[in-house]
Amino acid sequence: MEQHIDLSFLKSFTGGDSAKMKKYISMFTGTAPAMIEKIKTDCSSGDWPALKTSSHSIKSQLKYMGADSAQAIAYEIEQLSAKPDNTESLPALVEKLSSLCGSVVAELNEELEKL
Amino acid sequence: MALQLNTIFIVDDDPMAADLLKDHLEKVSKYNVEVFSTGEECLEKISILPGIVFLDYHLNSVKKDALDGLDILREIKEKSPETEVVMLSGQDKIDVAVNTMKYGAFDYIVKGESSFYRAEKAVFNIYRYRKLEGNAAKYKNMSIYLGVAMLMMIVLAIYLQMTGRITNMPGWGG
Repeated sequence: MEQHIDLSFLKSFTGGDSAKMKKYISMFTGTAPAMIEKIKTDCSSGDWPALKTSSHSIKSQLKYMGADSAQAIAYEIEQLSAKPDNTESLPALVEKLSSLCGSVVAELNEELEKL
Repeated sequence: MALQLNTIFIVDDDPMAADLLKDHLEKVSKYNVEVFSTGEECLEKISILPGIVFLDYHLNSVKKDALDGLDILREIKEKSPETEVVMLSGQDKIDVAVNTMKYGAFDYIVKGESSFYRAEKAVFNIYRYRKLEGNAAKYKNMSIYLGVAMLMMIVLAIYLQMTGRITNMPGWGG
Protein backbone atom coordinates (compact mmCIF):
# COMPACT_ATOMS: atom_id res chain seq x y z
CA MET A 1 0.00 0.00 0.00
CA GLU A 2 1.27 3.47 -0.91
CA GLN A 3 2.44 5.52 2.06
CA HIS A 4 1.43 9.21 2.01
CA ILE A 5 3.35 10.42 5.05
CA ASP A 6 6.93 10.39 6.27
CA LEU A 7 7.38 11.39 9.90
CA SER A 8 11.18 11.51 9.85
CA PHE A 9 11.27 15.33 10.18
CA LEU A 10 8.88 15.27 13.15
CA LYS A 11 10.81 12.43 14.80
CA SER A 12 14.09 14.25 14.39
CA PHE A 13 12.64 17.60 15.47
CA THR A 14 11.08 16.20 18.65
CA GLY A 15 14.01 13.89 19.34
CA GLY A 16 11.48 11.03 19.35
CA ASP A 17 9.46 12.58 22.21
CA SER A 18 6.13 10.79 21.72
CA ALA A 19 4.10 13.41 23.66
CA LYS A 20 5.32 16.15 21.31
CA MET A 21 4.80 13.94 18.26
CA LYS A 22 1.22 13.34 19.41
CA LYS A 23 0.70 17.07 19.95
CA TYR A 24 1.76 18.02 16.42
CA ILE A 25 0.02 15.12 14.69
CA SER A 26 -3.20 15.85 16.59
CA MET A 27 -2.93 19.53 15.67
CA PHE A 28 -2.87 18.53 12.02
CA THR A 29 -5.57 15.84 12.16
CA GLY A 30 -7.76 18.21 14.17
CA THR A 31 -7.55 21.11 11.72
CA ALA A 32 -6.98 19.49 8.30
CA PRO A 33 -10.62 18.47 7.61
CA ALA A 34 -11.84 22.04 8.20
CA MET A 35 -9.00 23.42 6.07
CA ILE A 36 -9.93 21.09 3.22
CA GLU A 37 -13.59 22.12 3.51
CA LYS A 38 -12.50 25.76 3.29
CA ILE A 39 -10.41 25.01 0.17
CA LYS A 40 -13.40 23.26 -1.44
CA THR A 41 -15.73 26.17 -0.62
CA ASP A 42 -13.25 28.76 -1.93
CA CYS A 43 -12.86 26.77 -5.14
CA SER A 44 -16.57 26.14 -5.76
CA SER A 45 -17.38 29.81 -5.13
CA GLY A 46 -14.57 30.91 -7.46
CA ASP A 47 -12.95 33.00 -4.75
CA TRP A 48 -9.39 32.65 -6.11
CA PRO A 49 -7.61 34.99 -3.67
CA ALA A 50 -9.19 33.08 -0.76
CA LEU A 51 -8.24 29.76 -2.39
CA LYS A 52 -4.66 30.98 -2.73
CA THR A 53 -4.57 31.78 1.00
CA SER A 54 -6.28 28.57 2.16
CA SER A 55 -4.06 26.31 0.01
CA HIS A 56 -1.00 28.23 1.23
CA SER A 57 -2.03 27.56 4.85
CA ILE A 58 -2.31 23.80 4.52
CA LYS A 59 0.86 23.55 2.41
CA SER A 60 3.39 24.08 5.21
CA GLN A 61 1.51 21.79 7.60
CA LEU A 62 1.55 18.99 5.01
CA LYS A 63 5.29 19.51 4.68
CA TYR A 64 5.84 18.97 8.41
CA MET A 65 3.88 15.68 8.18
CA GLY A 66 6.09 14.56 5.30
CA ALA A 67 3.06 14.46 2.99
CA ASP A 68 5.06 15.51 -0.04
CA SER A 69 2.63 14.54 -2.79
CA ALA A 70 -0.29 16.36 -1.09
CA GLN A 71 1.98 19.35 -0.42
CA ALA A 72 2.97 19.49 -4.12
CA ILE A 73 -0.71 19.65 -5.11
CA ALA A 74 -1.44 22.36 -2.51
CA TYR A 75 1.46 24.32 -3.99
CA GLU A 76 0.06 23.89 -7.52
CA ILE A 77 -3.37 25.10 -6.36
CA GLU A 78 -1.76 28.11 -4.67
CA GLN A 79 0.17 29.01 -7.84
CA LEU A 80 -2.78 28.52 -10.22
CA SER A 81 -5.23 30.46 -8.06
CA ALA A 82 -2.89 33.45 -8.29
CA LYS A 83 -3.56 33.49 -12.06
CA PRO A 84 -7.31 34.04 -12.60
CA ASP A 85 -7.03 33.19 -16.35
CA ASN A 86 -5.83 29.69 -15.63
CA THR A 87 -8.31 28.21 -13.18
CA GLU A 88 -10.06 25.44 -15.14
CA SER A 89 -7.89 22.68 -13.69
CA LEU A 90 -8.42 23.83 -10.08
CA PRO A 91 -11.60 21.82 -9.22
CA ALA A 92 -9.89 18.54 -10.19
CA LEU A 93 -6.78 19.46 -8.23
CA VAL A 94 -8.84 20.37 -5.17
CA GLU A 95 -10.60 16.99 -5.36
CA LYS A 96 -7.23 15.25 -5.62
CA LEU A 97 -5.91 17.20 -2.64
CA SER A 98 -9.01 16.37 -0.62
CA SER A 99 -8.63 12.66 -1.38
CA LEU A 100 -4.91 12.67 -0.57
CA CYS A 101 -5.49 14.55 2.68
CA GLY A 102 -8.08 11.92 3.63
CA SER A 103 -5.37 9.26 3.26
CA VAL A 104 -2.83 11.43 5.12
CA VAL A 105 -5.19 11.92 8.08
CA ALA A 106 -6.05 8.19 8.16
CA GLU A 107 -2.34 7.24 8.22
CA LEU A 108 -1.62 9.84 10.90
CA ASN A 109 -4.45 8.47 13.04
CA GLU A 110 -2.85 5.03 12.77
CA GLU A 111 0.49 6.54 13.88
CA LEU A 112 -1.26 8.23 16.81
CA GLU A 113 -2.53 4.85 18.00
CA LYS A 114 0.99 3.45 17.89
CA LEU A 115 2.48 6.32 19.92
CA MET B 1 11.53 50.80 30.12
CA ALA B 2 14.53 48.76 28.98
CA LEU B 3 14.49 46.28 26.14
CA GLN B 4 13.57 42.78 27.39
CA LEU B 5 16.49 40.99 25.78
CA ASN B 6 15.33 37.57 26.99
CA THR B 7 11.85 37.86 25.52
CA ILE B 8 10.93 36.65 22.05
CA PHE B 9 7.54 37.15 20.38
CA ILE B 10 6.36 34.85 17.58
CA VAL B 11 3.55 36.19 15.39
CA ASP B 12 2.08 33.56 13.05
CA ASP B 13 -1.49 32.59 12.20
CA ASP B 14 -0.35 29.02 11.47
CA PRO B 15 -0.54 27.47 14.97
CA MET B 16 1.61 24.48 14.09
CA ALA B 17 4.46 26.57 12.64
CA ALA B 18 4.31 28.91 15.65
CA ASP B 19 4.33 26.03 18.16
CA LEU B 20 7.19 24.24 16.41
CA LEU B 21 9.28 27.42 16.47
CA LYS B 22 8.39 28.12 20.11
CA ASP B 23 9.36 24.57 21.15
CA HIS B 24 12.63 24.80 19.24
CA LEU B 25 13.67 28.19 20.64
CA GLU B 26 12.79 27.13 24.19
CA LYS B 27 14.83 23.96 23.72
CA VAL B 28 17.97 25.72 22.48
CA SER B 29 17.86 28.92 24.54
CA LYS B 30 16.72 30.36 27.85
CA TYR B 31 14.43 32.94 26.23
CA ASN B 32 10.82 33.51 27.28
CA VAL B 33 8.79 32.89 24.14
CA GLU B 34 5.26 34.21 23.61
CA VAL B 35 3.06 33.34 20.62
CA PHE B 36 0.45 35.59 18.97
CA SER B 37 -1.83 34.58 16.10
CA THR B 38 -2.31 38.14 14.83
CA GLY B 39 -0.10 41.18 14.54
CA GLU B 40 -2.69 43.27 16.38
CA GLU B 41 -2.35 41.04 19.49
CA CYS B 42 1.42 41.44 19.33
CA LEU B 43 1.12 45.24 19.09
CA GLU B 44 -1.04 45.26 22.24
CA LYS B 45 1.93 43.76 24.13
CA ILE B 46 4.75 45.58 22.30
CA SER B 47 5.08 48.07 25.18
CA ILE B 48 7.03 45.41 27.12
CA LEU B 49 9.75 45.90 24.43
CA PRO B 50 10.66 42.33 23.44
CA GLY B 51 14.25 41.74 22.29
CA ILE B 52 13.26 39.83 19.15
CA VAL B 53 10.05 39.34 17.15
CA PHE B 54 9.63 36.53 14.61
CA LEU B 55 6.94 37.84 12.29
CA ASP B 56 5.06 35.98 9.56
CA TYR B 57 4.77 37.92 6.30
CA HIS B 58 1.21 36.64 5.58
CA LEU B 59 -1.06 37.15 8.56
CA ASN B 60 -4.47 37.11 6.93
CA SER B 61 -5.16 33.42 6.36
CA VAL B 62 -7.44 33.19 9.41
CA LYS B 63 -8.71 36.76 9.78
CA LYS B 64 -9.23 38.32 6.36
CA ASP B 65 -9.04 41.91 7.66
CA ALA B 66 -5.90 41.30 9.75
CA LEU B 67 -2.95 43.62 9.11
CA ASP B 68 -0.20 41.94 7.10
CA GLY B 69 3.38 41.37 8.25
CA LEU B 70 4.82 44.47 6.58
CA ASP B 71 2.31 46.78 8.32
CA ILE B 72 3.06 45.13 11.66
CA LEU B 73 6.83 45.39 11.03
CA ARG B 74 6.50 49.15 10.49
CA GLU B 75 4.41 49.54 13.68
CA ILE B 76 6.89 47.51 15.74
CA LYS B 77 9.88 49.52 14.52
CA GLU B 78 8.00 52.75 15.27
CA LYS B 79 6.96 51.72 18.79
CA SER B 80 10.06 49.75 19.77
CA PRO B 81 12.96 50.66 17.42
CA GLU B 82 15.51 48.53 19.32
CA THR B 83 13.47 45.33 18.90
CA GLU B 84 14.96 43.21 16.11
CA VAL B 85 12.39 41.69 13.76
CA VAL B 86 12.98 38.48 11.80
CA MET B 87 10.48 37.97 8.98
CA LEU B 88 9.12 34.51 8.16
CA SER B 89 7.59 33.67 4.80
CA GLY B 90 6.57 30.68 2.74
CA GLN B 91 7.87 32.46 -0.35
CA ASP B 92 11.49 32.51 -1.40
CA LYS B 93 11.21 35.83 -3.25
CA ILE B 94 14.05 38.31 -3.33
CA ASP B 95 11.77 41.35 -3.73
CA VAL B 96 9.79 40.35 -0.62
CA ALA B 97 13.03 39.92 1.34
CA VAL B 98 14.43 43.27 0.14
CA ASN B 99 11.17 45.01 1.01
CA THR B 100 11.22 43.70 4.58
CA MET B 101 14.88 44.73 5.03
CA LYS B 102 13.99 48.20 3.75
CA TYR B 103 11.55 48.56 6.63
CA GLY B 104 14.14 47.49 9.18
CA ALA B 105 13.87 43.68 9.43
CA PHE B 106 17.06 42.06 10.71
CA ASP B 107 16.68 38.86 8.68
CA TYR B 108 14.29 36.99 6.37
CA ILE B 109 13.67 33.27 6.77
CA VAL B 110 11.85 31.05 4.28
CA LYS B 111 9.55 28.64 6.13
CA GLY B 112 10.31 24.97 5.88
CA GLU B 113 12.02 22.15 7.74
CA SER B 114 15.30 24.07 8.06
CA SER B 115 13.67 27.34 9.14
CA PHE B 116 13.85 26.38 12.86
CA TYR B 117 17.63 26.04 12.69
CA ARG B 118 17.90 29.30 10.73
CA ALA B 119 15.77 30.99 13.41
CA GLU B 120 18.14 29.68 16.08
CA LYS B 121 21.05 31.11 14.06
CA ALA B 122 19.24 34.47 13.74
CA VAL B 123 18.85 34.66 17.53
CA PHE B 124 22.58 34.00 17.91
CA ASN B 125 23.43 36.61 15.23
CA ILE B 126 21.26 39.22 16.94
CA TYR B 127 22.97 38.47 20.28
CA ARG B 128 26.41 38.79 18.64
CA TYR B 129 25.42 41.96 16.76
CA ARG B 130 24.22 43.59 19.99
CA LYS B 131 27.43 42.61 21.76
CA LEU B 132 29.55 44.08 18.95
CA GLU B 133 27.43 47.23 18.93
CA GLY B 134 27.95 47.57 22.70
CA ASN B 135 31.71 47.06 22.33
CA ALA B 136 31.92 49.60 19.50
CA ALA B 137 30.16 52.20 21.67
CA LYS B 138 32.54 51.39 24.57
CA TYR B 139 35.66 51.78 22.37
CA LYS B 140 34.32 55.00 20.88
CA ASN B 141 33.85 56.51 24.36
CA MET B 142 37.25 55.24 25.46
CA SER B 143 39.03 56.87 22.47
CA ILE B 144 37.23 60.17 23.15
CA TYR B 145 38.40 60.12 26.82
CA LEU B 146 41.97 59.26 25.75
CA GLY B 147 42.01 62.06 23.17
CA VAL B 148 40.75 64.63 25.70
CA ALA B 149 43.32 63.45 28.29
CA MET B 150 46.19 63.74 25.79
CA LEU B 151 45.06 67.21 24.71
CA MET B 152 44.90 68.34 28.35
CA MET B 153 48.44 67.03 28.96
CA ILE B 154 49.79 68.88 25.91
CA VAL B 155 48.06 72.13 26.95
CA LEU B 156 49.44 71.72 30.50
CA ALA B 157 52.97 71.06 29.21
CA ILE B 158 52.82 74.15 26.94
CA TYR B 159 51.50 76.25 29.82
CA LEU B 160 54.23 75.07 32.18
CA GLN B 161 56.89 75.69 29.55
CA MET B 162 55.59 79.16 28.70
CA THR B 163 55.36 80.24 32.34
CA GLY B 164 58.92 79.06 32.92
CA ARG B 165 58.02 76.41 35.44
CA ILE B 166 59.64 73.78 33.29
CA THR B 167 62.95 74.68 31.77
CA ASN B 168 64.71 71.40 31.22
CA MET B 169 62.10 69.09 29.71
CA PRO B 170 63.82 66.56 27.45
CA GLY B 171 63.34 67.49 23.81
CA TRP B 172 62.25 71.06 24.62
CA GLY B 173 64.51 73.98 23.80
CA GLY B 174 65.52 76.78 26.20
